[in-house]
Amino acid sequence: MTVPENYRIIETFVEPGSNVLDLGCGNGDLLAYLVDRRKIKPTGIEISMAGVLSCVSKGLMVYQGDIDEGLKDYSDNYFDFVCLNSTLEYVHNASLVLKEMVRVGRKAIISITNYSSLSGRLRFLFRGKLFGNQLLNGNSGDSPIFSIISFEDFKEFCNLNGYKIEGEIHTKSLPGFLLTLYPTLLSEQAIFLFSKESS
Amino acid sequence: MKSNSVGIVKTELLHVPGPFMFDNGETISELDIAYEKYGRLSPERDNVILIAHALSGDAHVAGFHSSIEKKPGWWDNMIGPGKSFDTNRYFVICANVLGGCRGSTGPASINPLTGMPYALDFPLVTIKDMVNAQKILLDHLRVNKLLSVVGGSMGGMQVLQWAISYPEMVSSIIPIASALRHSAQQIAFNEVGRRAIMADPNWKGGHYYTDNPPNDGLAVARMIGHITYLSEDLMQIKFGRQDRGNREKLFKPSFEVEHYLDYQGESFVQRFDANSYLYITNALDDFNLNVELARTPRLELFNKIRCLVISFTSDWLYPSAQSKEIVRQLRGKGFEVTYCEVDSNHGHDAFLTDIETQTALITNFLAQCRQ
Repeated sequence: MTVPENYRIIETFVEPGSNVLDLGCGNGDLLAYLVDRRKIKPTGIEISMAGVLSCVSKGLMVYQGDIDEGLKDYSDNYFDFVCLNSTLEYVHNASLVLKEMVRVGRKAIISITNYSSLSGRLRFLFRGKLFGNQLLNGNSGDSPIFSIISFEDFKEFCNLNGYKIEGEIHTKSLPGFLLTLYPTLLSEQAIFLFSKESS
Repeated sequence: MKSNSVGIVKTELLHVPGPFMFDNGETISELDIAYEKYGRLSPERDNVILIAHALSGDAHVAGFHSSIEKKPGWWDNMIGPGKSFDTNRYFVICANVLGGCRGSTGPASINPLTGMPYALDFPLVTIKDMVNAQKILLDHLRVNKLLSVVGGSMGGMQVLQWAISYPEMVSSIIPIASALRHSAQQIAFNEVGRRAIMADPNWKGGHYYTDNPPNDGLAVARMIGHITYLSEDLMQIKFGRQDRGNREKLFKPSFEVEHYLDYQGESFVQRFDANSYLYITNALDDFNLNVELARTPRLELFNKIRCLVISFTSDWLYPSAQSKEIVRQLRGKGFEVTYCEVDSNHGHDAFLTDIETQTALITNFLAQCRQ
């Protein structure tokens, strides 16, 4: 299996042997990868039975339920790391979930798809099309998208809540130097490591 | 008989001649435990699965007692070669609970001190007492490690009690459609059942063993139970307003649902003792693991116990919220907990009927536990 680039980036953020929660862990591939590479203690929250079954077959601890509901049971700093990977779009109340991630985790890791990339901006400018059409969701069989959040939106949110962004790595589809110059325009996805300022 | 059946089995009896002490300090002078076992105990003795049965269950959990028996054991669809509890790999044990009436000592048993049935002189049974009786059976079978303890409903309560009482023996637990303690609604339904039995003139303060038993009262208790085991949705689908068309006969059963409940009541009294029903429902209502958990420290032992907690979406008798509370409490003690809410419209009975998802979950879970 080829390892997705975001898995490798998340791996660099996660300390060996740590207690990791993955929100919307799907079939458990990321957690299993981190168990293999970082010997983490894995926990997942997943809504689909197919995902839960896959996690159980990998020996991962998983809680079937909504992300919003699943987090309230954990005490502050219960986990070393809380991941939200390729899931932010599907969260109903993104602000609440981000705040809960920072509360129950010493550190939080989020991957954000870049909806404000150059191509996205051009599509909106010339064709007037947003990313995905909310009215067509449900016909396609995809999960409906609730939260479209740009890198700048996320940074503003962290700033206002006093969260510290400790790491920011972009997945590379272009030569590195271009990406470094214009990350918000050119990257496909960024992974952020953030936490409560005090920690 | 299908190739995935455990085949012809028999209920065995362990007679313990010494006294058995209940949690409340009372004793009985001897104890019988009826049990069945399937599969082979591995040389390392590390493949044992203990099944705990629900209110009306018994030790006959799989297979047939004879070649003419039509109905197999109560969880036959889960136990056998290639099934959830694969008897090619695991050694499966199930015992009738203490206080029951299907071979293990209970209120209908003869008190050796008087030569008469115990009736209400039988000590009050708790879930913990049931577990302690099972422990005696396992000691007798020289089993000191359980790969898993599994059960639905009241079986799930025993499962949870096992993990707290004997954590050093337990590698994993699977409590299904269960609770840490009964809610007011659950107690209320049981109380109506008990009152139905005690209001039957044949009950006679529990001393009916030489005469006609309180079958009407017990049947009503069972009918109430069956209402709570089904979802509203399934009941409507199954029976709706189907009518056998004899409504002109005053208050005789005519609706299909009436006949269904009547049948359930009638067949139950053939195999169940009314006093046992009182004792066991009392044990269910009395169970409160929260109290014990509150005084149980977070043990290192718990870190190694894997839990698979399962609930069903349409189960309103043991709703998912109660299973989520199990998850919260166990996690708080350091257990490794996985929780699944299986989509089903079968109500509480889903743990007996909705086999497909449970099989996928449990097969994978047990495979991981044994590694």
